[in-house]
Amino acid sequence: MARAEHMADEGTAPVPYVICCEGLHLETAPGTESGAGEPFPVELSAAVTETLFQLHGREVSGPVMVKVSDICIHGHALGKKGYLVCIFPGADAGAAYRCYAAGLAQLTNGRVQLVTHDRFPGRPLPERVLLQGPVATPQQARDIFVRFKTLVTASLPAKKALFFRLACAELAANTLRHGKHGRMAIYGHEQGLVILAEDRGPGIPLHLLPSSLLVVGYSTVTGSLGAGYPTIIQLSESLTIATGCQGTSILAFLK
Amino acid sequence: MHVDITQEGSHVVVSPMGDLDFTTRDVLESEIRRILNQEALRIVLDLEQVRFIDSSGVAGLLACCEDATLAGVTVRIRNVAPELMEIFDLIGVRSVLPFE
Repeated sequence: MARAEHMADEGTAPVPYVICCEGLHLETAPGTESGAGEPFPVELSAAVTETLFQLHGREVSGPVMVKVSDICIHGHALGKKGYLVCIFPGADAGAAYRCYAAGLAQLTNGRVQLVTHDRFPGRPLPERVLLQGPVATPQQARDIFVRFKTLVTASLPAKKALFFRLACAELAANTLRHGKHGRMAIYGHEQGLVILAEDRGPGIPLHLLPSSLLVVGYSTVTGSLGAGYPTIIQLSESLTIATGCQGTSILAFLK
Repeated sequence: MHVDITQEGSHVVVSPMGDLDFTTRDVLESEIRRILNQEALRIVLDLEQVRFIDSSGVAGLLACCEDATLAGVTVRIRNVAPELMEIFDLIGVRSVLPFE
């Protein structure tokens, strides 16, 4: 996102689309700088175009995400499991964000909603808060997690409580690992619970969002399994996320 | 979390007790590393007293197995509670864990 803003600031002419893939970057229009990440190999760019043609036909106008494992070069699949490509028109940050939002919604049947921070749902009503607290230190994260365990084991069937605790643990671990000034709040919602996890860390770069959220085994942190977000998403009825330079906010609805 | 260590013939049996999660994985990992320094041949990870695990805990288990393999030590996991198995399935790691 920082990159897209940078391009917009410089008044670069809009490009037909930008393809992002795990830090690899390709602009299909010549003359635009390639920015962060390695240059996208020409051969790969041809393969991506070919794959898109096969999957979506000649007219690709909206946002499209493609698994890199679907991409073939000379008849051979790239074989990089789970990598995803997102294509978006233009180069301004807002358009990129909207396209990733549409792509994530498409890949998750609408369960994952990516929104900008100003569209993120407001804080829960105070009377609905069941527990809340800072998650800036391991002790604070543990504290929230232990209080959550007490809350759900007392009020929910065993299996539900187990999965809710798993979602809480993954959110707490992520908040602690990636963010500064982390906070979590749990509140009641219809027949379920909502967990709000917020941090003021650096945010997740847009081009890493699909893999980070959906691909098990994808992680930017050594010693991490890369299963945190995918697990949270599996356990959530729906999940709203806002991420950027002001941090990451997640609202997970558990039912 | 508390980790119990017992000897069973030529095996070292490591029995963590409590939740194996993002706040406790380090405890298990450092115990395993300590044992690996003592020339064990085979480690049995007995999970009977573990009722909850998260992806950090799973990562900890896998790190233990990797450390052991590098040290030429075999690790086997036993006595996995059904609820733990459900979490392994959900995270998708059942097939990569070395069950006894």
